[in-house]
Amino acid sequence: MEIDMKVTDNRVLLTVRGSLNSDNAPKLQEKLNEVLKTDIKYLDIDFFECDNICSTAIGKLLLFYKDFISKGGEMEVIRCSTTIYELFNMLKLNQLFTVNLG
Amino acid sequence: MTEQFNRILVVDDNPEILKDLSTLLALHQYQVDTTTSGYEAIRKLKKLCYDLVICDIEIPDINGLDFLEKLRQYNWSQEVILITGYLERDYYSRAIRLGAADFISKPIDSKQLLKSIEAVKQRSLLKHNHSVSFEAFEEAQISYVIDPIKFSHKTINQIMNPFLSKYLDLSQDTLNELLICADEMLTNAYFHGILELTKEERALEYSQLKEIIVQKLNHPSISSRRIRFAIVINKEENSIRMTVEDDGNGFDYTNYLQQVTEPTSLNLDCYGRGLTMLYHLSDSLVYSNGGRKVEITRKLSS
Repeated sequence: MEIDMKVTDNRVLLTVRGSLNSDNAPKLQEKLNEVLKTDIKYLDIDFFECDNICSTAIGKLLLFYKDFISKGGEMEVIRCSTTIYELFNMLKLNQLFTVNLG
Repeated sequence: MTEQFNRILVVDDNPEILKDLSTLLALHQYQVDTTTSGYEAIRKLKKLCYDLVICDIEIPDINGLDFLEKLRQYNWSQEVILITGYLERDYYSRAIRLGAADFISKPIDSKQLLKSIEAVKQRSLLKHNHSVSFEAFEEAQISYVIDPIKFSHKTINQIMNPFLSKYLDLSQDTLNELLICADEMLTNAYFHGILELTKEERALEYSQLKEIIVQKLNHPSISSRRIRFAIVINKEENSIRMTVEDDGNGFDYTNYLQQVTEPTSLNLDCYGRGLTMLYHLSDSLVYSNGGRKVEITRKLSS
């Protein structure tokens, strides 16, 4: 699993590739914590090349989301694979932030 | 790979070429699907097992060689024939290294293309016949006992992937969903069953959590516990069954099961999300042995 982080002005793009499982979910947490430490307001996540995501990683994402919106941040999944799109919809995460299929 | 090797995906940004190739290949009894986009092709490959991809080297959203590289990164073994107007030596070497099956130059000569497909088909069928076919079995299974000190999802995926690929033509999406299920079942068994981690401990930073895990595993009463994991492919039922059992104290699963069977609501809590995922990604979810054993069954599309 790889996570790329690209920062432009007030926006950060996280691109996740491979399998996001409970073994490597802490890597996602680390990257999200890096975002929290900055004053960046917008986070875009690209899950198009992410094959699957476990509940631990979703938990990390939600913990981050709570902290991020409390400091005025906005988050969007700009692209994702069908598996992840369906999972996010099933868990109603699309009620919290925009989830695009890509 | 399908038994007949007849499912082909054609990727080219020129709709006329796609139309011509579709007609030609359909005439020769191939099931053809087309797309003008490399990323759409990846999506299609995740959904369905194609035997062969015929891909133009210059598609707008992704270079044909990069497309081929992505397929190999995903460990997809589909045969790929590249269509090209030209081929520089470097490109050619890279394509060979990435396992391109053949090259067809533009303008496409129908006879040459059909000959190339037939050659790739014969080679693949020969390769496939050397491997064990699920057709010969009523049931195939793999099971292993996991020592919590050596627990790693990476190893489990490395075992699961080849086992499932050996016996079944699963789409990438189905395989991914099965891997999610295995991950959820094993994570619950490991964190809650074996290690008895609390909700607060699970939410800790990884370095702190790791310390707690090491401390817990130092206790013989914890480290002597085991996780038993089994996958059974049943041909008659056309299904996969996965079972995980741990030596922990179990849990009261009835409330959780009741929650997941009700219409899903947004769950910001840390608990229960994995169970919800298991419930929705499987056709049957059963707990037994006081919550120490969980079994899911997933029907496979024929």
